[in-house]
Amino acid sequence: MGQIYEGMILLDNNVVRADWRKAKAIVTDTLTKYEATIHTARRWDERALAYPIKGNQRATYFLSYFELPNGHSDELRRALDLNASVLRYLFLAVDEVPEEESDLASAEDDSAHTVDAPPADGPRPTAFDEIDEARESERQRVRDEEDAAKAAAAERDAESAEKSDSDSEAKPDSEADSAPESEPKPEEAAATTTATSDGDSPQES
Amino acid sequence: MPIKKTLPIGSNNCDDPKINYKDLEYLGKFLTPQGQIVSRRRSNFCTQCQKELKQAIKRARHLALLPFVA
Repeated sequence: MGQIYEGMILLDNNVVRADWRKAKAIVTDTLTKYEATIHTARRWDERALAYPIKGNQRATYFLSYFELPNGHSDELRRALDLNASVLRYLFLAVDEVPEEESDLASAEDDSAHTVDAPPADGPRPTAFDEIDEARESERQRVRDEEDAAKAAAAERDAESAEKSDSDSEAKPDSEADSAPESEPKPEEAAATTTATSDGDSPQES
Repeated sequence: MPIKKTLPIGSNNCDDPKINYKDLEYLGKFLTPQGQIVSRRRSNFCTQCQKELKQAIKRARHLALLPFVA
């Protein structure tokens, strides 16, 4: 009596691109070698990885439900570790095989069903490109705001400089106008000086 | 300084279908923009469901379905 496992295995896209049936056989043969009873086996997805694994930016996810006799788990894990086509794997003990899995797997086993070849590895996964674009747009927004603030500050400085220049140009004229008013007339000045020098005020006399 | 209060993601999340590491759209709701798992206060999960969520996200990260750091 064994345990039912759900196995998710990441396969190298170069192997899948060459032939999907062979790539599938790599996993199924390894499972059967360790006396596993395969219930379902199908391609779950082909997608960009969230982070590169062994230099691969994309990989094919292979989902399988199988029953493994007790004590064979470690040997199977060791065999998959040594297989270069397997990038990563995850085995989970489950109670039963989901109902929809058998339908999906049987649909793939149909001879008419064809699996599209995965696309070539791009420079980076799209998830990272989106994050980079978001970060770059945020940086650009901050830069624009800083530039706008600098431009506004420069305008304010220029306006204040113009004001100070216009004030400095206007000041001598005003001083020239105001100076004769403040200064006493020569005749009045003379009268005051004579009055003070005599010591007699007009009222006293 | 006023404390910024964040609203929980959904309500009665424990009634949702079972958490699975393959359901990336659902798991993505409980990650911050930096890729961190949100707290229980934010996720509105009970203790057991929060543990299941943590386990599912870690499994998805192991399989490169979700990033460790975004």
